[in-house]
Formats: sequence, structure tokens, C-alpha cells
Amino acid sequence: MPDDVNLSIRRWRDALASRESIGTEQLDELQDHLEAELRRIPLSGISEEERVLLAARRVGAADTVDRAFFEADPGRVWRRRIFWMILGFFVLAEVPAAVLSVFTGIAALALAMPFPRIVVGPWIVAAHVLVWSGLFFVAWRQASGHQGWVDSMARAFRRRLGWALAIVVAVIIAGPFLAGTARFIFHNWMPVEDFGYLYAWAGYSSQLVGLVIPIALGFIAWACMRKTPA
Amino acid sequence: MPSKDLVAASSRPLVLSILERGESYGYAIIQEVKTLSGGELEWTDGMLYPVLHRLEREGLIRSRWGKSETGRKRKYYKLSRDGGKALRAEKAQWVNVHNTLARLWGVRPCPTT
Repeated sequence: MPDDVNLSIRRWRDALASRESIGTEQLDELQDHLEAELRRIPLSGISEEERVLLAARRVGAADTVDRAFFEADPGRVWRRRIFWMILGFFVLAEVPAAVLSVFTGIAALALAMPFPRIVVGPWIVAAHVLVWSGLFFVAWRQASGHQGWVDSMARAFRRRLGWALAIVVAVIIAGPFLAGTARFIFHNWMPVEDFGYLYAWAGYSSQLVGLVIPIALGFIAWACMRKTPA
Repeated sequence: MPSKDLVAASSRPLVLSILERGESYGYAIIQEVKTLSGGELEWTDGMLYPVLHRLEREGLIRSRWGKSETGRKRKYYKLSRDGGKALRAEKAQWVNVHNTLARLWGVRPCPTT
């Protein structure tokens, strides 16, 4: 195809790409359609750019197509939003802590002091890496449309809503005990204060309230609202 | 020319029926609808894809990425087993509506499926 046609197609594609409901796969499919349409428009009489505009008009206005994609699968847009929310949480929660721990480590090395807890907690680092990798993996799979097993989870949630809520409540109540126990087991790296339970609860619940509960409740709400066949 | 609502409502049985004949892709499906309806059913082309994606999400059709005749990426769709069942249900409903109206208007009802 001539260069000016490719440029016009690229412009059309960029305009659609800025829409929230239209992802790369949808763009590829629409572009295939546009090019098929373009081949049917006669070459004579109008400029290449006008041919692309005509074909684009037959495909539909960006607003209309965007809205139709949103209505066909509102969950998809929310999955992408949740991905960016998780990324935001990550940057706010982890990056400052990581920077701080690197600087503390350098300072400890320079001053030949024993490593402070914040630097030498391999279990803490491993747990954080694991949790964040898990979150990113799920969010990425969701945002890129691989949703088979999450869909079946959502269906299971809808069928067993009572159980789902019970599990969330159980995690909230049992979590501090588990966290306290884990800290007790790994006390070499992270000594537990005497009033272990309250201490664990404070640390654990702040993370839980800030991150896990909104995601869990959001997932349950989404699972309830979503219209998928049972 | 059928109303916008009727066009939207008929998109589902139309797509399922076309895919019952064999694997196809967006542009070919639209051309087939245009030909079959004698140009009476006019879709905004881009509106077909959300319908296809919804049907796929519901498990009624399956898709795969292949190559077009020019070697570019193209997404092909075909009917799934659940899609076949859904199509039979759709047919029964549409024939029912058609026959009810046909009796009221004194025109020939269509044979039952």
C-alpha cells in the first residue's frame, strides 16, 4: 500500500487507540476490516486520504464503536482500570520503601554498622515480591483479555456468594493470627514484640484495608454485576 | 429499512446463522448480511465486532487469528457446540414471532423448524 495510505491508516488507528474500550486486538481486527473496505473503493476520482476517510466512515465513528465495545464487555474496561490502580499502589507503596532500604543499607555499610532490620529481611522481601508478582500477573492476564479461569471463579462466586463473603471475613479475622505466627517463626529476621497479636494486627490490617479488601470487594461486586451465562 | 432496534436485535441470530455455514471473519459476515438482505439491513460495520466479542465471551462462538489473502493478521470465527444450541433457540423464537404476526396480517407463516 502507498505510504500516504499507510499514514492515513496510522492516524485513524491512533485516534481509535486513545479510546478506553478499544485494545490492540480490537484495533487489529478493525484495521483488517478497514483495509478490506479500502480495496473495494475504486482508485479513480478521489485522493488516497479521501478513500481512507470513506472507508473509516463505513467502519463507524470512534465514539459509536467505543461505546459498543464498552457495552459488549464493561468488565474489560474495569479490568484495565484495576491494572493501573494496582500499578499505582505498587509505585506508592513499594518504591519509596525500596529506595529507603537501599539508602539505609548503603549508610550501614559506609558506617560499618550492623544491618538494620529494614534491609536484611529476606523473607519480607520475598513475600512482597511474591504478592506483587501475583497481583501483576492476575491484573495483566485480566487486562489482556485472558479471562477464562477468572470468569469461572466469578461464576463460582455468584453461585456461592455466602461462602465468598465468609471467606473474606475469615481472612480478615484469621490473618493477624497467621501473620503473628509467621513473624514468630521467622523472629530471627524480624523480632516479635511481646504483645504480638496487636502488633501483627496493626501492621497487617493497614495493608489489608489499603489493598486487599478493596480488590476483594471490587471482585465480588464485579462478579455479581457481570452478565455471563451460568 | 428496519429500525435500529430491530437491526440490533437481529444481529445475534444473523451472526450465529452465518457462522453455522462455516468459519468466517468480520468483513465477510457483513458482506453476506448485505447481500442476503438485498442491502436492506445496513449495519455500521464497526458495530459487528462488539457483537462477535460478546458471543465469544458467552461461549457461543470461538475465534482464532489467521492470515488474510494479503498475508495480514485476520481473526476468524466459528460456531461452538453451545452456539448451535443457542441458534436453535433463537430460530424457534424468531419463527414464533414471525408466525404470530403473519397470522394477524393474513400472510403465509413460515414452516416450523
